Amino acid sequence: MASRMQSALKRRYMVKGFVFLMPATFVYLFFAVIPFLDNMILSFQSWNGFSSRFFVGFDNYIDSFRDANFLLAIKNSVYLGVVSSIVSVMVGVLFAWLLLYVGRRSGSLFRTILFSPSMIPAVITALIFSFVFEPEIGILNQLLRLMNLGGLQKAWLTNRATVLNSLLFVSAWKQVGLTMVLCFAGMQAISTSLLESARIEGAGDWVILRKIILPLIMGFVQLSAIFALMSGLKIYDTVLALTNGGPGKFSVVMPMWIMQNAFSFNRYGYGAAMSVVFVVIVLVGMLLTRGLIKGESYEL
Amino acid sequence: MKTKKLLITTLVVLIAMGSMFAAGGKEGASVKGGVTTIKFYGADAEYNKNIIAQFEAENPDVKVQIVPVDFDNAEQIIKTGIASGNPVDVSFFWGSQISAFVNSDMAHDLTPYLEADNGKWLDTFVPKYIDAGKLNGKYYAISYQPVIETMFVNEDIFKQYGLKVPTTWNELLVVGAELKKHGVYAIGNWAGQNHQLLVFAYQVMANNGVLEQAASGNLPFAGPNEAPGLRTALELLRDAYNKGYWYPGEGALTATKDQVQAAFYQGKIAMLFDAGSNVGLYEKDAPFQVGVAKFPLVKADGKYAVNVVTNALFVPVNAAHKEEAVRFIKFYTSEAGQSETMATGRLPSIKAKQDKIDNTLMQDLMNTTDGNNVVSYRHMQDISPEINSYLQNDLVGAVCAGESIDSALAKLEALRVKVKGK
Repeated sequence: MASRMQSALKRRYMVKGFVFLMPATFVYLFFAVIPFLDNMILSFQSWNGFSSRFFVGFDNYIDSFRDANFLLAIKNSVYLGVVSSIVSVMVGVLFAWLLLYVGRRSGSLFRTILFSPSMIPAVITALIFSFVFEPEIGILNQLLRLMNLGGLQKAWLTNRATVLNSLLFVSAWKQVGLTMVLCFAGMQAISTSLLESARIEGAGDWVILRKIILPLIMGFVQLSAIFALMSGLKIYDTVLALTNGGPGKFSVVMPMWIMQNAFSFNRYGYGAAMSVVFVVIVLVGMLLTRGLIKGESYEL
Repeated sequence: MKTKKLLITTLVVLIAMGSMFAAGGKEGASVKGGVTTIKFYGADAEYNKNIIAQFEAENPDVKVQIVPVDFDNAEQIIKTGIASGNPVDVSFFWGSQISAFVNSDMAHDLTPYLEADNGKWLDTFVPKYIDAGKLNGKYYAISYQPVIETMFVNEDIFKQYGLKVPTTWNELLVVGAELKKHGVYAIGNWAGQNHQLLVFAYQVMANNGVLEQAASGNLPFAGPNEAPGLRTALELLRDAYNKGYWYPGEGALTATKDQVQAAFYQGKIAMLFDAGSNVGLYEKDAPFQVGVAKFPLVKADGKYAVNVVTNALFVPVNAAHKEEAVRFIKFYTSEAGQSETMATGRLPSIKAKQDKIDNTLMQDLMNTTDGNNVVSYRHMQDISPEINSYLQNDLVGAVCAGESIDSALAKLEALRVKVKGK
């Protein structure tokens, strides 16, 4: 009797579970799993978006590695991803650490200010920075003029030597807030008695940061680094709005070249192959970051 | 276990039904109560609304819904619509670049409509304008407006500094140097419309008698048998860029349309390279005397190459309402439709309106296409979408930013070989 009741209860839970799972399954299946699988198949095919698709073996992959623009796009995206994640993690951790020492009220004000770039849509960010980098009336060049450093003025987004680093700055600026919030949350979880006892033992702020705080928040640092890396690798709208990949193709990034091939040149199969390569690069980047920044948990 | 199987089956059936419902249903929505609604990808502007109102009054069985055009991304958006199986019924595009759709079998053949009744509709057009949308002997785009690339001139600046509008490249350099002393840039051209800078290449091609062959991609762009034209144009443009005659100096390669137009209105640019279709805009908005002039000649007694770009309408091959779409295009290019577009400073494409241009600037614009040395050409962009993108966005910028002309032309040649072979 008891076991029959138990199995009826189990069935009821199962029914409820399936009912609740259905909408999410539906969305996930149709908007993630099926398109991804279809994209994998498409990467071995030639398709102009309209006529019938036909298999071309590995031709799309071979072409992609012979495509100078794609190789340049990989280089640019990896540069933006790796360097912007390093910069944003370093600056984000620094900000979080400084916030630990600020009073509660002003701390929350600073947190809000520092986090706000992460909440601004990428296109708005690009618009803001188009005013910052504008060669004639842009804030940056105006500032340099005011500081009597007119010789350093540049057309930041047109100059081949500065365009990527300008985009890097925008990408890192956007990521720092998120890193700071995540790491600050991690730092707040550290027992104050631990920090106080270290201080009693004579440890200075720098030693406390290096020997106690950083090892204890490594999990958060790892997460922030992965977020920043992915965001930097996938950067698209900011670049599109600021430089459109120019001048020439000097600031082209992977998503931009993939989009252009698929939707402007009607080379959907080729675009799919490049996007598979892109996914692999993102995955490898994530795994490397996980390997390099070991997040360990300690009993506090 | 049974329940689990049943639930999984139900889930799969529901998903399949959901997708079937999602796929269907779009067709019926555009025909209601005997009135067909067609979608028109065009400018959400007053003149289009007036044309639509008149068309709907004459055709009560058709309603036209404007889908506002994004000129910068038009090709991508239209192609995505076609590929998704749910395109607009009538779409704007440049007649002379319709190959971007024809080569992918995405444009409906409009020849039968034009040639019906002994070519009654076809005969209404100025041949060179309607032919802009013709490819492989078939008409795919109906041109409603010729777009003459031109130079808009701030005549007040030239008067103020006692200068003459340059007619040759050498004169342009002299004018550029003089204007620079007064903080004025000689030329303005925003990123993404670099086809206008290539007029100088077409001139050189014409001077060397290879215009048609080179512009159609039948001569190499690089290598020992390189077609003359592009290299010269790139050298000239790089020179003007390095000398700081091109607004706003180093930032010229990424300057946006808004920035360049604002600078022109503020009197910072003496000569603006732009499509003649904006003649009405500049005449209305510029706080100075605007003039229209021919691009400077690379060689004083050389040829002047004029493009045959047109603004046109076409019907996507899988449009749901082709017949209604064609009716709308017929009205759009009728005398009534053309009167509306002309009222906003746009040139007409039909014969009946050619002698009705009463605006002086529009007449000056038309005059730039006249003369013994004038030759017309089709854009090199027609060769392939990749070449179009490269010429429009990358080539000039790359060279001015420091890439060698050899390397930039070799990239273009690689794209040409893909389409035309060696």
